[in-house]
Amino acid sequence: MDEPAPLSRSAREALSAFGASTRAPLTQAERAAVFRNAARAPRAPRWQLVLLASATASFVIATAAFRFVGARGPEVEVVAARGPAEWKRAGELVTVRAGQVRVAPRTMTKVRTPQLEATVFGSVALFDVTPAGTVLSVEKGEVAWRTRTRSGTVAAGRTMTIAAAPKAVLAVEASAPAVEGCPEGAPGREACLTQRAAGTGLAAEFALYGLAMAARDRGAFGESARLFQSYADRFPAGTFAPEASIGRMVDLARAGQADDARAEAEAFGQRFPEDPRAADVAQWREELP
Amino acid sequence: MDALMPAAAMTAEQLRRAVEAQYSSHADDLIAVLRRLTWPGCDVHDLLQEVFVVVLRNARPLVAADSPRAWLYGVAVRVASAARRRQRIRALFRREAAAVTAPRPSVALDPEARATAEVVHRVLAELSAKKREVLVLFELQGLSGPEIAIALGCPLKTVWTRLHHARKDFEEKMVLHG
Repeated sequence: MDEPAPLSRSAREALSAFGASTRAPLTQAERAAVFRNAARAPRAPRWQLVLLASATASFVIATAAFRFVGARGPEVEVVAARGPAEWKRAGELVTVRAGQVRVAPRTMTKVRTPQLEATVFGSVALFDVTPAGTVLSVEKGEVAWRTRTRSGTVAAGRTMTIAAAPKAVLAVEASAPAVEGCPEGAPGREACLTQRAAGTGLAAEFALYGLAMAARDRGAFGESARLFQSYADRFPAGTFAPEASIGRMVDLARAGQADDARAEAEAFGQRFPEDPRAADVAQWREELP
Repeated sequence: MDALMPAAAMTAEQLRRAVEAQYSSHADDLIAVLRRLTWPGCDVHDLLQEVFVVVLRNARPLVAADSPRAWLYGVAVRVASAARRRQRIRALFRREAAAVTAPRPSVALDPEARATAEVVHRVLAELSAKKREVLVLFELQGLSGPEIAIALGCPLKTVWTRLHHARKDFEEKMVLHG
């Protein structure tokens, strides 16, 4: 399309009047002022940059806040009123072994003491752990607790005490059976037992168990634990299998290998659930350091 | 000397002087087009300043342009368009912008011409922005079709098409407004 037909004369005249009414040139002062102000106008940040900066800042702040809150986990304040408290936090689990620990978590948190396990959420509680037991004092909200046999809740302003159970004592009840040819107290008995243990059958089983018992009698708990393990490997359904397991866990604990002892105690519950000492083993395990 | 120098080689001060020269040449025309593309009482001095804020920050394209006049008109049209948009938003929220400066008394016009001018202003306000811009630039500012195409960033044929419809609408509305 080329240039269209012109306006009518009347329309042109009207536009001309409008043009004349809007044709007011700038004065010299106005002219100078407008350009001067334009030249001095601060450079406004472009809206894209402002938007990008805002979005970036929001993202950074949100991420930092999320990480900060997430990384801090439960807020645990330690009140060392009776010497330094012994406690540790792993995720949402706070384990208190001794001392006073005040827990005011922002998220659901489990607090475990030797006597109980409590769930603290939106509440504030003081756990006072002594050898005599655990005293739970709730300052705010409500705390649910449970032991192996009981459970309940403690409301704000109330206190509850769970006394420590008598310390579990584990002992290997079965003494070493007699092994033919290796009399008790005879010189060279352990060498004799070693020779018999290398064989097969009931004699080898008894000899191996006797070797382990002899080692623990000597105070060689590392060696006795290893021999009990050897017994368990060779005779998993042997006559002395529960005794060997208990002997191994006790001797490992004595040798300072608490983690291995705990693992052995856990395995005992699975391997010998009908054993009358299973509950004692479980309690003993709880009391391991 | 600045006029002969490539824009890319100019220093900031040389660019500023080149823009100032364009300002001196076209300030009156630009303030007139701003007045014709906005509403009575609009602070056109402020808009003219806004035009040159934009120009000073993008001076090289202006200096390098084949038609600096068309380039300046293009900026002025966009600034006026943005001002009208802001005005509409303010009106939408019932916050009519108070006139920062009173409408400048126009040049001496007889009452009949003044009344005609007011009718034309109303009619132009009723036209679509695209038609109004083309009509004002062509009929009142005296820009050629190619210059308008540069200013508006559209093909020449589009300019003629818009001008055709703008003239048609303008005439019809003028008849309606008596």
